[in-house]
Amino acid sequence: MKQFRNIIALFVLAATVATAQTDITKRPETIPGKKFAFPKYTETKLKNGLKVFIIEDHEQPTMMLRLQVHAGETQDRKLGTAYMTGLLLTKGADGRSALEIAEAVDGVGASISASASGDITSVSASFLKKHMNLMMDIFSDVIVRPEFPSDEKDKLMPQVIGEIKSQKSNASEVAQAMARKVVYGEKHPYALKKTEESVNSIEMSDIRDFYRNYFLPNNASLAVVGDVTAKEILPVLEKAFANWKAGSVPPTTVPKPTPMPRGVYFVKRPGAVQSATIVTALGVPYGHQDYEAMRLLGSYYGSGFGGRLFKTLRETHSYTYTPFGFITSAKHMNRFVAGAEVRNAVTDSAINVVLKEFSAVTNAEPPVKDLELIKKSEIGEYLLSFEQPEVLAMLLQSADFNGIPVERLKSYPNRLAAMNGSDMRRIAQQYLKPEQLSYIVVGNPDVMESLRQFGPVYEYNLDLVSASGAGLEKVNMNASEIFDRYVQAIGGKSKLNSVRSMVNNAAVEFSFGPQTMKGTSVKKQTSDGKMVMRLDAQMVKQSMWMSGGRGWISQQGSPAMEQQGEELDKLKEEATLFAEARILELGSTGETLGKKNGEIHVKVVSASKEEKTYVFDEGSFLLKRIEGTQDMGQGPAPMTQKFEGYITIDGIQLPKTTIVETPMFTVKMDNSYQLNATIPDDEFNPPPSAGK
Amino acid sequence: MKIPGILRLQNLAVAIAAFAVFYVPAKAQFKPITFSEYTLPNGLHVILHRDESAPVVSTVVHYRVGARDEDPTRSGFAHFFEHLMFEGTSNIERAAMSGYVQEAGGTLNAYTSFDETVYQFTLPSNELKLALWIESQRMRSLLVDEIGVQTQRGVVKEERKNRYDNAPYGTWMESIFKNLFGTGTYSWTPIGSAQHIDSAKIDEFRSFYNQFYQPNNATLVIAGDFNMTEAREWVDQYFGGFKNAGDIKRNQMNVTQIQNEVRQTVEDPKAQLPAVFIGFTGPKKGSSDIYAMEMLTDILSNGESSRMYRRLVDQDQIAVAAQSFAFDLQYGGALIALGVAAPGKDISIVEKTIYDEINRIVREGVTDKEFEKARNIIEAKFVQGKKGTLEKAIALAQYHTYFGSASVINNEIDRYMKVTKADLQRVAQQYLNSDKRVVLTYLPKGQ
Repeated sequence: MKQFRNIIALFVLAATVATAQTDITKRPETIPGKKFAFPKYTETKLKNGLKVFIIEDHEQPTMMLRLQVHAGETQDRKLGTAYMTGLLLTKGADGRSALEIAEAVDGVGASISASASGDITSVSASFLKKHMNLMMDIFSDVIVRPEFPSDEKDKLMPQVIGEIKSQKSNASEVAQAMARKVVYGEKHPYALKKTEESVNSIEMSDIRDFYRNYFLPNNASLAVVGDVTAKEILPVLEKAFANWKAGSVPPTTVPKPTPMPRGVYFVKRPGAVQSATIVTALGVPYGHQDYEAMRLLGSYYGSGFGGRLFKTLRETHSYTYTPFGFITSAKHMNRFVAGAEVRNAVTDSAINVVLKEFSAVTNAEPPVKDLELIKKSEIGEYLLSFEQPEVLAMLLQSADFNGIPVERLKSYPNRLAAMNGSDMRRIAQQYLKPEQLSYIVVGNPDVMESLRQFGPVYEYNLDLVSASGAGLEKVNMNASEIFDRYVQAIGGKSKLNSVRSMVNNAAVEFSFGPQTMKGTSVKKQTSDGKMVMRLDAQMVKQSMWMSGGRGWISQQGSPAMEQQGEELDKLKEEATLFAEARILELGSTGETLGKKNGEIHVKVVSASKEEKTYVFDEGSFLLKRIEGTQDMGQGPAPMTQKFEGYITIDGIQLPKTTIVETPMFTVKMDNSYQLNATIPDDEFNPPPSAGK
Repeated sequence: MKIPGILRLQNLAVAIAAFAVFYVPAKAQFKPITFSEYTLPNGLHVILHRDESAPVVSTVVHYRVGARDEDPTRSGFAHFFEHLMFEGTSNIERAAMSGYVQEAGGTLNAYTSFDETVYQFTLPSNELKLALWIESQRMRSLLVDEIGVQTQRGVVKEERKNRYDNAPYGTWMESIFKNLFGTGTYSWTPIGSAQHIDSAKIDEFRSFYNQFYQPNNATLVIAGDFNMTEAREWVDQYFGGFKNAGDIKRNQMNVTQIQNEVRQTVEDPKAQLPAVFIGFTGPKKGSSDIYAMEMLTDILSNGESSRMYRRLVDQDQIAVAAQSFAFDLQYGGALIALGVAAPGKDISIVEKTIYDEINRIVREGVTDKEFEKARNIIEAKFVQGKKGTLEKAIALAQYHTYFGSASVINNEIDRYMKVTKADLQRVAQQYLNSDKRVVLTYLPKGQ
């Protein structure tokens, strides 16, 4: 016998040597791959109706749990509720405080977190198997017995608001948000995103309601991945979730998209050096028969090194570093998007390249070689992803939520392989015709004119509010008439002209993300253009002086620097009494944009081409806010000055509260005023020894 | 109104997370990694690890070349080669490499550090030969020519801007290593100097390639679903023909110790909040102290229940971030502690409070509860880090290289579990109770 085995071994050796005539200078021939077997898993239901997927992974004694609740931002009655609910789940549950949860989880080297997206909210935990009892206890507590302590919500608010603000300083995110509005319609749940106002209005009761309505075992699925068997884990799950009772889920109706008029949606970002550019069209729901072909077409344009836009936008033209093309993956409806961040001067050229690529597929099937490469890459990535059982868990849960049979997950590579150029052409013809496309550009205002070749241009600001009058009703007053009404409203021209000086003291509160700091400011001005302003809020110190046509600024206690040019002009404006009311007299031009929600919008452009929108109350004509942009060191970001709670001082209406809002910080000033006080002249000059 | 904005904490968190995964963890209860290994006559060390859980294979080629091996007037060379290695070979056309891999349904990547340059593929298991072919091609047949060098000069400059020059606090690592390690080994970082790369002649690149890209300076790991006999055969075909290059000429390793406190203040227009980075000399990779040091950093700053987080962020509310991590290199090490001030808070108080927390451990040691937590965190990291073909392949190559034995992948945990509570206090005393440190204070510009 032993001899026989040796002979076999010899044959094996001979066979390998025979095949070893490989030319090592050439790409090796691909040998047949293993037949792809969809990984094994168990699907079952707990007594309370919770669907459970168990994926055994015995590589190491580790575990991962992931609960997916079938409700997210789409179900928000107040935008941001799902998100806040997710954040608060781990901040107190079944008698454990936020800190106690952190200590218990850290203590065993584990992690737990929750997050919300458009369609779903999920809670995940990972840990070593031997800590399963503790972690199952905490995991089920935060899902079944969360306490939602209101002080934890208060602690979270500044972070949440900071995140909302910071999104406005990211051009690509702004472009995608605009694209959602354009494709789905401004009121569509897929187009609505949480705002500062909406999250501020969220009460603890809204969070409890969201939790009560949607956190139900019959509205969720649970995936267990790790070193357990179904037999072992099921009784544990039954026990952990025993008190979680099924209930009736309020029906979700997602309306049909009502796309905005086709054209170019231009979001102005003064000072931008790149344009975030998107060409977009309405796609199909996730479960639609054309969805997978559209996804392949997205990859054909946008997938990594092999995508068409990488070859053209990047390699041929070097317009960009990062081209993209894809279809989104939401349940009820999706968008097809292609584009890139490109340098200003080639914004229109880049759009033309994308259009050329779209029409190439509309006119003729894509080259077989190119499409085959993309197909192989997509199939390969899909199969490779199963090496991570966590990915399988997400696929199964997502298919369950979207009503896709698991059979279709199994046969996906086959369907991809069977797709061909004529499928791509049909998709392009059906969904990507020029008349179905809209264009979103977030960029420098200088770029706008060049985009008219693609259709009507609609101007928006970084808050995605129309700036060009689209969506605004017409107002039959020109800008100077509106400013006259405003002057009347705050006391009348002669009253304003009679004021010789004003002292404006304010208590100042700065909020930076979760932090606030307090301070004071004082501003003294005279009718002949003298001014002194001092701000002192702990770390932030600033003084400004204006006297005899000269102006100085001192930052953080440094010596006063005399200002020239544009900076001096800004100081002069700052020094003008009632500057907001007199802005048109100071060399700016105004244009009435229209009205919306009881507010009149007037565009004001300064001599140095700085653009702002003044928003007045339609009834009282009081100035409510000024919207503009400010360079924050990382490119321009929106800045809004709000004026609230007008009070009467010697017959003149002045705002009690002034708020400056930017994505990075908020400054709130609680004002008091004194008119016609005598101010010694030397106060308007910087001290000779200012600074260190 | 000019007001400082808020810090981009996200970038910082990513940077810190990148170091956090550096740790190789602790204690029992896990499944050992089985592997076989051998060395080709030309010196190429080969490690084979079978994992049939998915029809996937990963390959790693680990070259023992990093920033430490560079001529100080030619810094950035090792990292530059990480880019050149994707250009082309005598048999692979320029820029075609990624297409081969993508068409085969695979992914590719690489990284460079102080001690190593590592190339990685993950592919469907039937494409193992493709990975071996590309790796063998670029091990000895890389095209090192003007076109490739010129192209990558531009790309690397953009990378430098993107990751260092244009990021808040982006210079901290360069400054700390420069001051901590004087003029010797590890005193410059892998990204190196653009000027050095610009002024280098093509012959210098070629000679660097021939000096370090040799079979006897590399470890090849194959991990995943493959046939052992076939794999050995293919390795032989693709790599067996290379010659052993003999002794690899290297810099004399010269790890100096900082002798005095070095303090620097940096005005940083990208930073939105002041921050302090403190660098101490730390234990080197594999030394007995590194294990205690890593556990100490977990107690100091891992999670919301850690000492630095609770004191600086939660209790005193003087910082928005407080972190510590050990940097263990083959011939030396560093311990970095950092804090980012909360708006309106004094960065010097942040610095003092970090010392205060360190000194509490120097004086009183850690609690039993903390000690247990650190052991558990180490264990979880150790076990969770042993999943995935690529992760395991990288770890096997590193254990072979730095510990002289890949089998340490299965027993390094024992070294952590030998650490006592007293050791934690002792390493705090030995390494951190000293003003022999680099202190970098970043101030947003104009403050």
